[in-house]
Amino acid sequence: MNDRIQSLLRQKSLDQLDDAERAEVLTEMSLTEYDVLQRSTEALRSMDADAAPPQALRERLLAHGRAKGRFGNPNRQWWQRRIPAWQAAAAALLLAGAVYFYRDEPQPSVREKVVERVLIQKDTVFRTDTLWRRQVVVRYLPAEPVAVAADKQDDLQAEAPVQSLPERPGTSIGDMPALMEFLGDVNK
Amino acid sequence: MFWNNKQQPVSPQKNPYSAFSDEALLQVLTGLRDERAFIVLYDRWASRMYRFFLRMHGRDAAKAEDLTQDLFLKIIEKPHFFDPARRFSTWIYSIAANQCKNEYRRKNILEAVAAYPDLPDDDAAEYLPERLDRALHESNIQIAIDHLDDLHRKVFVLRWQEELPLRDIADITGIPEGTVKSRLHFALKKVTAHFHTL
Repeated sequence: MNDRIQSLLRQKSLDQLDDAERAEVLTEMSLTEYDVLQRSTEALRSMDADAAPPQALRERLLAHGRAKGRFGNPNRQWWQRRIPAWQAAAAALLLAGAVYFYRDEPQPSVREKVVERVLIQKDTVFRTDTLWRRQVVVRYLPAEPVAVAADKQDDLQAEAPVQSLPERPGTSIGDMPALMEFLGDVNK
Repeated sequence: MFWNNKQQPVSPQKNPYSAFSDEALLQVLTGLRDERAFIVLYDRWASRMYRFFLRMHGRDAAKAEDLTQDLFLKIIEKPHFFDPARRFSTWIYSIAANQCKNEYRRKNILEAVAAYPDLPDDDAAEYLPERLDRALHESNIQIAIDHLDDLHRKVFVLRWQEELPLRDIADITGIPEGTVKSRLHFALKKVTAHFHTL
């Protein structure tokens, strides 16, 4: 069935067809068939034209949408917007977790880092005592002639004579604190 | 009548979405989830879809109401399923057609269709106009539609009740336009044959 005949079926009954249109219809079907189809389709269009779902259906659908949170109000402020329960629960869980972990975390402390430093101090001040202790004063004094017997000449070669130096009068630097201080303090 | 954010009834004339296209309304429903968009959509399509279901299910008002409710619940729950590349009309009819198919499967009513008699000769139809009156015709046409199988009933109702173009019917049913034409032709023949048997 071509579009032209379908168009005629919607627009014209059998009585309203002119000769040319009847001839066109006859290429596809009998006139009786056209009449039946035309009445049927017309009846189909007009049948139940006033039928409508009950008003309660719309209210049920709207109530369902609101209850399920499917509708939002764009004029509502963000704090007035409703969110699904799982989102609220997830947010509360995250908040509680964050509080828990921050509470138990130790306060940041100063870390002590041991750095090995070699301090080279060249200062004679701190070695004063040692220097003085190790100072050896060697004085060479002329020996006094000693009479040695002739038979003892060979013994002189083998055994060194023991000399006892006479104690000379004088003052040690250790006994002079002022001098010691003067020599020991580099800033002076 | 719907409710604004202060829970006060608002008259439909004040609905800001009244002039929106169906496609734009669904976009609003997806993005802003504004129930006023749904209300406009419902008011435009509920009666039409209700009549479609009514026709497709032997004028069973309870069934038509249930299916209409299911259809609009789908729109509320999953408006994002709408493909903006399609027209809303074909989309909603596609959903409705699938609902009908599922319902037919559930009730397994296709068995009854197999008992439908073969087409009579055209010659026997010469006296038909005299046998038809309007009331009888209306009741019989529903019977004729009920005797069509799901595939033919769908294209028949979409074409002759909903008056959709063939291209849209092809889009809704997911079959080529040529197949729609052949099914439509066959459905018309069967409806005619039904009256021949009267």
